[in-house]
Amino acid sequence: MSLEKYRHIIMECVSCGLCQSNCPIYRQTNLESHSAKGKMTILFALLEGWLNWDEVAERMYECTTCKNCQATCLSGLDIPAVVEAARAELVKRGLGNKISAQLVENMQKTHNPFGEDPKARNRLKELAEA
Amino acid sequence: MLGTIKQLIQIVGETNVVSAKVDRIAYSRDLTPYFAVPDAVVFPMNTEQVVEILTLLNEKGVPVTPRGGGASFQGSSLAVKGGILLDLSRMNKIIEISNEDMIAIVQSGVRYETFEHELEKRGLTFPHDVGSHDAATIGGILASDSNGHHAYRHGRVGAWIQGMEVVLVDGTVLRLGTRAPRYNMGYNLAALFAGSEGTLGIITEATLKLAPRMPVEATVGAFFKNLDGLISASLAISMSGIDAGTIEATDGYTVKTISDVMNLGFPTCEGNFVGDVQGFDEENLQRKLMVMEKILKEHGGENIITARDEETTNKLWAPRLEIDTAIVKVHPGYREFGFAAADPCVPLSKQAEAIREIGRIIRSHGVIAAVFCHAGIGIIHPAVLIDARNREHWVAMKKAEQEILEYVVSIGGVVTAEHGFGYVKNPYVRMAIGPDKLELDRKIKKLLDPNGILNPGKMALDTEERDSDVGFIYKEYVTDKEMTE
Ligand SMILES: Cc1cc2nc3c(=O)[nH]c(=O)nc-3n(C[C@H](O)[C@H](O)[C@H](O)COP(=O)(O)OP(=O)(O)OC[C@H]3O[C@@H](n4cnc5c(N)ncnc54)[C@H](O)[C@@H]3O)c2cc1C
Ligand code: SF4
Ligand code: SF4
Repeated sequence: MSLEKYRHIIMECVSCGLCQSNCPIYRQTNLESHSAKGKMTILFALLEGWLNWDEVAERMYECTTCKNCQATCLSGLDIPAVVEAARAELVKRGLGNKISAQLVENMQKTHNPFGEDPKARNRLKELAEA
Repeated sequence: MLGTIKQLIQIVGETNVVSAKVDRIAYSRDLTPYFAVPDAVVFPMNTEQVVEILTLLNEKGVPVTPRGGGASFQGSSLAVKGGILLDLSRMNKIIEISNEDMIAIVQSGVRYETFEHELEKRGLTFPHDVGSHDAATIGGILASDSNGHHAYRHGRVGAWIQGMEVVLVDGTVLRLGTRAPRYNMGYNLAALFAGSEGTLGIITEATLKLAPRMPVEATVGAFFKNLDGLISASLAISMSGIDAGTIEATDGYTVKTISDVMNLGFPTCEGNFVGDVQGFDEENLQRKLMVMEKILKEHGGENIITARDEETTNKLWAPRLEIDTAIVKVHPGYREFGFAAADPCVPLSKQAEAIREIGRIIRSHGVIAAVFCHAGIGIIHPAVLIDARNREHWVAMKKAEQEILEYVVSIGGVVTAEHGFGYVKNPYVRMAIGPDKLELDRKIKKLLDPNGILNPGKMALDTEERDSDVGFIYKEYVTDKEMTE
């Protein structure tokens, strides 16, 4: 399991919480599973077999990988690398991000990420030209 | 529990009750080796909701563990008995900042640095800058009677509480103090709730005394071949009356490790000094700096550096603040844990001896020691750095912990002076305060929380054990029971 390679980072997280301060997601919700501290705890529980992959999927996608947590981390840990490894594993297990999948499908079907009728764009173009 | 959760949802709404396993597990860890998952996390949004929640849970006898940012070192905000984790972080309004009355009124979930930035705009400060920065909430800081980096100058946080709103388990809302600076009206209950670690009531609001922000400041660093010189310099700085902001000492091992890892070029020393000093104008600051530098030199300080810019200031503070980052690089897999000997306090005259002896005790068990000292106030922070996959290291940490605390008490010191007892110090409370005080503490607890629902398992109020009711994040962890076998 590729996440196993990152176990040392997951275990080096001392759960101090310094990463809460500038996480754009956690600052909106105050929900610990959105912070890097919470994510490392969740992944620890996953590696121990106390959580399943489908239970952690949503929280792993709720991260911008902005590295703000790494900037304030007491131990200087590369949290986004761990989150990305978890995502890679999720995709392999058929638990890819539903929103990304939807965006890809939209692009294929409608040539825009929003799934909107491409004719609407042509109409706008015509209006602009008129 | 399901019925209780439904009732809690009725009080605070669906979005403020967290019961999914993945989200509950995110609240199960702090700096200690423990793992404790609450049955649900509840976020009240106002005092009225706290009243309703406590009344309900008190009737049902469900454990309630209050939590602010969860940055406690000692397992204080872990739900070791399960039940409800009462997370106050969404009660985060700064209600008022008054320059005229030099006070601020805040809800308990306000974060320390967020608050401080608002105060800065008005030339004010709440000078209790805990090292947990914005992870810490005002409620957590008050409930732990915390000790900021500038406690040398400003003292403990307890004395800065002008008023407090506290909800008791039976739903009573106590209002202690007002915006008037002083009161002396019967027992000082605000002082009782400060440092009560969430075992007596829920702090929902606080009226805090503020200080003027000094316009200029500088940080001074110096290196000592001999710790005795460093400590005598610290005492001389205190006696000079220059009113420094903070006076810190770090042991030579830590200075060398940080210097090597960060390439800082610090000289070899037995200890390094870092202090800061504030002035009401440049001339005032320069005079203080002159006195400080002279004292440092007279007592054997070398390579004295005075920093006015952020980069040099950070460099000077690095030995004090960067050990966790450095140790991971030098010894991958090693880390610090919250343990019972993390914050003892010794008489000022014994500081040099204690820094040395505590370091010696830890190293004698074959693990790494980094020792820090708030040199103006006698608090020593030993960090034991271990490879947590090695059972022998856990044994070493536990043996060192006991020896350090026995040593500290033998030289007239105390077991804890900053983080409080929490969960991890349960077995040491009786030794620390004696049977009579413990008995009285338990009577006070019984009076205010007869069903024992508030933060159970802490401060030896209902058990003098640890390790018995929690999980561990490392299977190699050695429990107290295993230590005695
Ligand atoms: C990196 C780091 C550095 C630190 N540096 C310092 C330092 O310099 N000085 C220092 O003193 N401590 C320090 N600490 C310890 C800790 O951060 C502080 O004690 C801080 O005050 C905790 O605030 P919190 O909101 O995270 O509290 P929590 O951990 O959430 O709670 C702490 C205690 O208070 C109780 N509590 C929380 N909110 C309330 C409330 N509203 N009503 C009643 N009880 C409540 C909890 O039940 C618990 O017992 C540090 C911790 C870390 C991780
Ligand atoms: S990388 Fe993810 S967890 Fe870290 S701060 Fe950014 S959003 Fe938060
Ligand atoms: S700051 Fe780093 S070590 Fe601390 S909790 Fe966050 S990720 Fe873990």
